[in-house]
Amino acid sequence: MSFSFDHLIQGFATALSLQNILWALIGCFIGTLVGVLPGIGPASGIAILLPLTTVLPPTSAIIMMAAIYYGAMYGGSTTAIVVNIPGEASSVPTAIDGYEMAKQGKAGPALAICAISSFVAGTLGLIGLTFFAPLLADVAVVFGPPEYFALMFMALTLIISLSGRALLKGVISMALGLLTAMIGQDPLTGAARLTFGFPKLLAGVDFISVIVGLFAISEVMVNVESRITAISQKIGSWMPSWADIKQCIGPMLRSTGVGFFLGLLPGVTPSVTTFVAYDLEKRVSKTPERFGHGAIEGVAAPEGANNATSTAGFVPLFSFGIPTAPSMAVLLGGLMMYGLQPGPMLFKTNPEFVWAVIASMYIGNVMLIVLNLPLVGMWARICVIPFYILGPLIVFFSVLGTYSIRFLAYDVWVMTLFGVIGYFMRKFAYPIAPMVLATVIAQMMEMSLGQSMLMSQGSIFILFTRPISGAFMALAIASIIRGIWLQMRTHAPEVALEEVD
Amino acid sequence: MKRTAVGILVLFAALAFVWAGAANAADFPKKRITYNICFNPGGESDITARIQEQALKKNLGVDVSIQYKIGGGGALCWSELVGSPPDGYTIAGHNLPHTILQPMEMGDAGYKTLDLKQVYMFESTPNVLMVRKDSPFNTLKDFVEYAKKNPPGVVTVGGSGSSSANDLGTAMLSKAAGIKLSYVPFGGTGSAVPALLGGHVTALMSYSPMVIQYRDKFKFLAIASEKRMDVIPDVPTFKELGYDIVEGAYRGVAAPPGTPDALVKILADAFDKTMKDPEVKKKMDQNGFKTEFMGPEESLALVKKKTAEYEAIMKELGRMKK
Amino acid sequence: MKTIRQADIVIGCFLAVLGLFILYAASNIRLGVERALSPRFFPSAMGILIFVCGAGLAVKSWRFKGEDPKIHWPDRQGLIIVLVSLGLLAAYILFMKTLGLPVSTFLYVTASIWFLKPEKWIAAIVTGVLVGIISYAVFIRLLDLSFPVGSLLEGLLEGLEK
Repeated sequence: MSFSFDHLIQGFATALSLQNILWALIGCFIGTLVGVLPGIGPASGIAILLPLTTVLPPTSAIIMMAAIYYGAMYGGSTTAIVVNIPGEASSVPTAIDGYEMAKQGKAGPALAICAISSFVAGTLGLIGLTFFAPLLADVAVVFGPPEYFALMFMALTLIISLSGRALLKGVISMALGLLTAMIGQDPLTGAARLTFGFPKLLAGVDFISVIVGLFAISEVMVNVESRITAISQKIGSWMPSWADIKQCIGPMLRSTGVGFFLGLLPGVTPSVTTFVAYDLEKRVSKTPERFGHGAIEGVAAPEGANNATSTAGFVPLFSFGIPTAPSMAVLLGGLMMYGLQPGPMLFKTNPEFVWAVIASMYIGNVMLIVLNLPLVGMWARICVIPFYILGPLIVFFSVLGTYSIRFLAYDVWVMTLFGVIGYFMRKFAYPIAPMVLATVIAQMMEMSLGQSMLMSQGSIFILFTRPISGAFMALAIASIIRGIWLQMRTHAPEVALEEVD
Repeated sequence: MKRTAVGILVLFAALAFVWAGAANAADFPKKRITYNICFNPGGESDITARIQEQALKKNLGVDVSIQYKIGGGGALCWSELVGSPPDGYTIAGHNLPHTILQPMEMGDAGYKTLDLKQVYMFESTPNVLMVRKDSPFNTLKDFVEYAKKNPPGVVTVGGSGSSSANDLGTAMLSKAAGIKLSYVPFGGTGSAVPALLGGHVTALMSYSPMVIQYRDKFKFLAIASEKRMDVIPDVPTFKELGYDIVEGAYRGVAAPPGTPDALVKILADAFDKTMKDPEVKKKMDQNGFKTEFMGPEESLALVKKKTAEYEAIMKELGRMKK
Repeated sequence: MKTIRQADIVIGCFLAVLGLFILYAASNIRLGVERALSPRFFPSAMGILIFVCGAGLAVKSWRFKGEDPKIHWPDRQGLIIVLVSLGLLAAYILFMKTLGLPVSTFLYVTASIWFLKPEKWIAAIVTGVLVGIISYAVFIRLLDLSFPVGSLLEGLLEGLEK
């Protein structure tokens, strides 16, 4: 796939037709709606609407589906900020500072920064996609199983910074998260693990139920027991101040970079990159102690990474025809329905189509910010709804969303269980974020390690002898050592500074 | 306040006395059917389902919702299928040899082969051994010789899933050629392909559709079918090259055990019409799939036949569950 | 357990035991095909990690002599509210399959709001009805997701259609 201005301009011409703009708008709107529900992610959203798109010409259909994808990303962050329900794993870091801001009456600025950051990241990401896709694709392929493992391992060491001063508790939280992810079938061989003879457990524990339980349900429990009136009593202005925005420029740019480059790797999803971006900001910040208590950079960074990664995900799709996430595959399926063959040849045979889609992604970005900024005020008002009504509604959404993962009541029970666990974790001051990150990456991490060992005939040194994975491992180990050393210096009790309610 | 809550709970309980509706073949299907895919997006099962989707909806008269249930090389999806209600509204794509080998190799895979009620078998894809365009191997012979010259296990072959056709195919080649290849399982063809593109494995034992998709990126050393496939005539068969290996995946759909035969027949007929639809047929051929048209009885016979075959092979290879 | 330090010690010990238990459970995992990385490896590693951290936590907290924050347990009324709310949630899940999404949602939402603020019973019922209807119209009808409709509602709808 090579770049050509002609194609791009033609693409814009197609995408800017009134009809296509309309479809993009509808797609954004539906996507946001769908993204608001935990458990129903962009993949399901697109799949559900696939039949509707068959009445449209192929280009319009794909434009609409891409718009849904973007919209869903945005919707997930909205609920993360306003009611502490991350719409999906990638919205979790947003919830950490975003919800705190909401409690302080600053839900408006938080939501606005989300939109702005997403827009900036998306646009920059698209520029990267447009000009550099073939180059980038080749870079991405250099990542093999050892590199993936090293990357995941390094991501885990991030929990050290996420745990504040409570290193031991953070590690425990992470270990328990990894353990829960291991219940079920081993990713390499399918062997049953930790199921204690219960066939139901073979299905494993879905991380969405864990996330919703840990965040939403436990939060409701805590709020309900202290009989709070509402999440926040007052609403400040609904736009961020210029100072706020200036503060976020750095985070936006950095998170775009991180999100985009990591997102090029097939299999690296926004759920991982948002954590990485969040951590990066915390490390470079001059006032890291604000993170976890409503630091606006803590919202800008994950949102930027989110969008950048989603955009980067199109690179393997366009260059190799490999979908890197279920939502991509659904898009691909859509293509097939129109007789377009998936695979690297698609883009040789139908370039005008590809460029129309890319052009529409630019437009989708603009559309999102146009649609959502005005609505920020509306979303922010949700925080003021009396909790005796809002609480049950939050639970309703949680149950609905969790149930829709696999349509198993079992998942909802898991959510409830983790709600209780989350409740106790808050009481005993254990950080929740490490558990979440661990559940999300456990499977990929283990599988990569297994594959790496097969590649090296059982030697773990393969992780260190290859340059990229060696670099990541070194960083990770340095991080661990530094974390332990810092811990030994302070003598505070094990209290997680950012999660105390 | 407490009493009201209790009162409401009692109300819940009282309302729980329900009148049930029996599954009625006369108006099946009347709502959307869930078609579960057991492997990564972008893989063969997924691509086939996408090709079938439209025609299937037309022939069934209801929406078909494609869902992914990935894990354990397919075992997660099939064990869930076995626990699903046998009302005809949940079906899953299933693969041979996976559904035969997994219970054999794993001891407890969460399902038994014959638990899956066969509805229809619609395609087969023979194994194909492939390497990168820039690799030093031009023929199967080159590859085998390289493997012989190096320590056992150094040559890695990636593929989709554990206890799958790719897995078995690699093992069969190892045995037939007297070499030891290391099979590296990936979540699906969709994730195995980047591994070969990046050179992280020496070769891939994958399926015929990949030949068409990656024609300009890979070299194809051999195909494990009886005869060369029309759509890819320049790939020699293992048989031609002296190795009696005919192996690949059969794909079809299955329903939970206990699904009434009447419903199964309706589903099978819909799939049959779908596979015979000219659009579908064209796309299947274009993409390197060999279409099959096996209804419930034929599919079951195939499963039983293959089970006996695999038992023998597995014993030979020493992989039966201990 | 009134203070964090006390909780840390107790939970630390509990985790240490849990870690050992996990090691035991991991050792019982059936091995399938030999694949370089044993399915037992990671669970065992976690078991060890949890044991070490749990024990470490207990020991560290035992020896700690500084300022010890109290845990914010709820008061008696708060406790009742939490428990009943959990109970209502459990009932909601239990009855969702049989009663169907719309009906059980209506019952849950109404009951919960009523319980949290008994004097606002009108708001409770209205919200409950609204949410119930929305759950049917939007999620079952419009989006066509496979939520259980519930035999009650199905029968009603069938009756209406005839």
